[in-house]
Amino acid sequence: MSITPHRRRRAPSSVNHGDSAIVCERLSKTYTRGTHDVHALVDVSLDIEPGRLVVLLGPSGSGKTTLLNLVGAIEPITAGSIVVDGVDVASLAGTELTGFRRREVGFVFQFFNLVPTLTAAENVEVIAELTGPDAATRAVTALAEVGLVDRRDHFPGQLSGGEQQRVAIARALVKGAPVLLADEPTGSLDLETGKQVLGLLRDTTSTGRTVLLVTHNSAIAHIADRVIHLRDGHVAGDHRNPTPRPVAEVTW
Amino acid sequence: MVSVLARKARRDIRRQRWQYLSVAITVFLGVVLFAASYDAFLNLERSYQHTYERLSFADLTITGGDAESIAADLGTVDGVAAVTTRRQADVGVRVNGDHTLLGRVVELPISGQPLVNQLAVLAGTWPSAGDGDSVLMERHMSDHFDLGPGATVEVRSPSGWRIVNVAASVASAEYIWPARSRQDLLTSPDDFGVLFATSTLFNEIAAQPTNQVLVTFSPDAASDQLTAELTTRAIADGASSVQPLADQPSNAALQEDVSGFGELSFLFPVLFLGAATMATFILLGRVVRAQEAQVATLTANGMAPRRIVMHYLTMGMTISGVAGLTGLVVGILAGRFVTGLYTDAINVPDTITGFHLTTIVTGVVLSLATGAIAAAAPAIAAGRAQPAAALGGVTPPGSGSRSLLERLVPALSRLPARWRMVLRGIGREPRRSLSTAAGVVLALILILASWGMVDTVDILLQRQFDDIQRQDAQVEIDRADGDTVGAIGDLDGVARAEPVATAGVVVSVGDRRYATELMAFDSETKMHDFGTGLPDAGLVAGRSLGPLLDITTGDAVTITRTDRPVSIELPVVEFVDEPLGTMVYAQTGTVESLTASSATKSVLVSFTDGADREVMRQRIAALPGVVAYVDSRSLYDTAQSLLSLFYAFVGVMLAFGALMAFALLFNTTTVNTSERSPELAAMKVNGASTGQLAMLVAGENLLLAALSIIPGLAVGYWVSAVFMNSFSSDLFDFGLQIRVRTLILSAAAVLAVSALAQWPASRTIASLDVARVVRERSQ
Repeated sequence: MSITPHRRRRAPSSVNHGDSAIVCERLSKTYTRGTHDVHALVDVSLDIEPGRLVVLLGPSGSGKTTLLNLVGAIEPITAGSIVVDGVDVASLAGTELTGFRRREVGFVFQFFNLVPTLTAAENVEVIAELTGPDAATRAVTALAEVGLVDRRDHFPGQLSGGEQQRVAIARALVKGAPVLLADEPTGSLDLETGKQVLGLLRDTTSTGRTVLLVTHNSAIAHIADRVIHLRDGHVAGDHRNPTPRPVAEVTW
Repeated sequence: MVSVLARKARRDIRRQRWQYLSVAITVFLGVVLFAASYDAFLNLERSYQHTYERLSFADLTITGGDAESIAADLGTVDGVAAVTTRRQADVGVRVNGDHTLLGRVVELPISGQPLVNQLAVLAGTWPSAGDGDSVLMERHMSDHFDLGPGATVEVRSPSGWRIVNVAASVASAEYIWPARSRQDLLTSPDDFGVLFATSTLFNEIAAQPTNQVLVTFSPDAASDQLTAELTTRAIADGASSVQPLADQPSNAALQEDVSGFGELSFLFPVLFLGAATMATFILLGRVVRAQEAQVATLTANGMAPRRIVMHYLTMGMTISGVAGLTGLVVGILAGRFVTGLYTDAINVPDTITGFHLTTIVTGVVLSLATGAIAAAAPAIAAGRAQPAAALGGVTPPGSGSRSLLERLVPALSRLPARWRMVLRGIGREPRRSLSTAAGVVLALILILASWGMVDTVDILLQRQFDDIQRQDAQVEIDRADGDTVGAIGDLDGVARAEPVATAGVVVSVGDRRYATELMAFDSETKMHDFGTGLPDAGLVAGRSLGPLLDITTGDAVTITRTDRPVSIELPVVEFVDEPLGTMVYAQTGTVESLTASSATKSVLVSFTDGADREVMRQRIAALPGVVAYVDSRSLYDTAQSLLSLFYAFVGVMLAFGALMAFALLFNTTTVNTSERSPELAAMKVNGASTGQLAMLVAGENLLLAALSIIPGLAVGYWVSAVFMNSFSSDLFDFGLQIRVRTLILSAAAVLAVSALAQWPASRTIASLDVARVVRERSQ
């Protein structure tokens, strides 16, 4: 099945995006639950540069996962705008939305969500097939990037949690998308394995890729280039870290 | 706590209402089929029983010998309620001056109504004892020719055609199904009718009557033992054949139908309830797995495992119980309707319907048992959930491996990864895959059992009337008139006319006896296909005679006329497979001593291409020596018209089968989609389109359905063969015959239904709440 390439809808000229990877302007998200509304995000404006590891930090219910989902076009926005890599996300629909997910963002989840009947290489390959030829070769290359090429023929049931998460990262990277979204990627892992995964995510930014990482674990914030605190749907704090700590020094 | 769990159950059911509804529909259909067919079976048995009791239907019919002395002897036996004698003869009958058919005249006693085998007067009045000009006409003949009281017909007497008056139209238990004999069950009213005449008239028209003794048993008599005793005595007293009620032609034909209802009340409900059990098992299994953490939390907080088990067990039994009880009510009503339809169609004098406790109790038990059996394993598994499961953590993914197909065909490993996912998905959850396969197999069993019935009857009829019997008509002529055969052969439109001798006979070996018909042909006959031809000496017999008399080729048998003490001994040279009846055949010269004494003989006639059958009937019947005329093709047409009932039945079964297959496949498909929603969502957020994901899920299910077709056809064929064979007897050889196109169309229909069942899954994928699902643990 062919997917209509999403048209790179230029963001409104009133906003200067410069080299921004992700720009959110007065972003809001409201859920309606029965007779009352839940304001998950209220009037959030952000400007994220490319090639940065940005951590979204906050307690449960602060809106950090919601923000991630909106950036990844998993959920529709209620108000405001999001521009990812120059694409106005809110204006996308149907096959354009699929094309955006295919080419602009990669996703990593807490619970991996690998296909248990496919090997590590095949889990990556099935996504690679969506974005160009030589899927098998590109899958192996992606696995090499995460240090799992020697486990390529193993099924998820034969891999540790950390290895499964690294496969999931390879799956997200194989598309070559400029933005990587990670929702609690270490939430199901022990300390050492979690640090391995964080190290991989850190390393991907060296190629100019932007990583947006959601966590409630404040220790992880130390490795980030920028930490955005969220509370009750608002940006409660936003500070840049000129000297992020090496992953090896982080502990929790 | 119990009421909270009940609320949970209600909400769980509401959330997956379409899946539970599909299960409920399958249970409903299964119980409807059971109740309708079983009640119809019981109602028909009661209806026949009521008629037989009301009309004192004979428990035993003895033919041949000195009827008076046999009756006197049998009347002394304990357990005998009544004994009477009578005579009957087959004569020519002519209706409306030009329509000639074979008639049977049955003698009435001087007292009027016979003691045994009484008649129910439907219209008109009983003739007086001395009335030598009136007959009672059996209802099939009077209805077919519209001959009521006051009408006249002609009967052939030794002195020629004689007009008689129709005094009344009557119903007889002996001719509810108006069969001429066990070997002639398919009789058209165009060709055969029954008249009842007083002794005065009977003596005038019947040249060679057959003596008969009719016996009824006391209600408390031990039927089998009394039958055996009376048979021994009657044979010793000179009778040629003894026919118990079970073998009486009309009763035997009706019992075939009734037993058919009985078989249906078992086979088809088992299919439906089996499908419902599987669907419920899969559905509840999925529910229990999805709710494992919650159940473990309840257990960790002190809820007894027994309550957990009862919760899920109750869910399953509630669904099946409500659906089944509804089906029971509808089924009982449908059974009454079917009974009425059937008794109207067959002209059964009495229609008895009622509430049958066995139907109700069995229906309730089946309904509840379906849910209990299906829910047992998931419920027990839920009861065993360990509290530690509530702590959460990543659920380890199931073990993966290459599929069997990839190992058998290594080239498949080079398929794109998404199609390898499809191949491996088949073995991912064996219970679910088995259920999908079972749905296909059950649907094919249902289709082939019903459609196979139609194919079998159609093919066997074609074989009987096109390949084996080649005559267009059978004409009875006066034996004394020697020129009639030639005159028939000389008529325009006649291609060939062959004389053939027929006689009612009993074939016996030691004390084993079988009453049938003997047909004697010319050595070069073209009217009947005997394969290698008729032997010069000896008999050819229908296949069933072998096991009935425990004989094989080469064994000698005694053949005795039923209406006179004439017999010969001959070896059985060959057995033949013929769909209808079990007859014996020989060359004319071989059995001359048996057939020479008949007052009439038969001529088998074949017509030229394009000859008008009705015109030929009139031409032939107009010839002086013609006594009766039977159109062989009209028998075929009669049988074909009966098939129309079959087609209606098949249509209903196909619709039910499609519904059953859809319900089961819908359930397994939606469970399939639910089980892997996290990975499907992960693929969706990483760029797979809804259509691609739907095609992958559908592809897996359709591949599984396709792989199940061959075993489904094999199992369906075997079950159908067993089902059809259960109807086989010496009357009918119902070896299963299925056309290739039936197999192909059945497979195509099931695949079409499977494809249709994927549509709801496509909608589920399209409406997947990706944001919620990706946060769920993989299952």
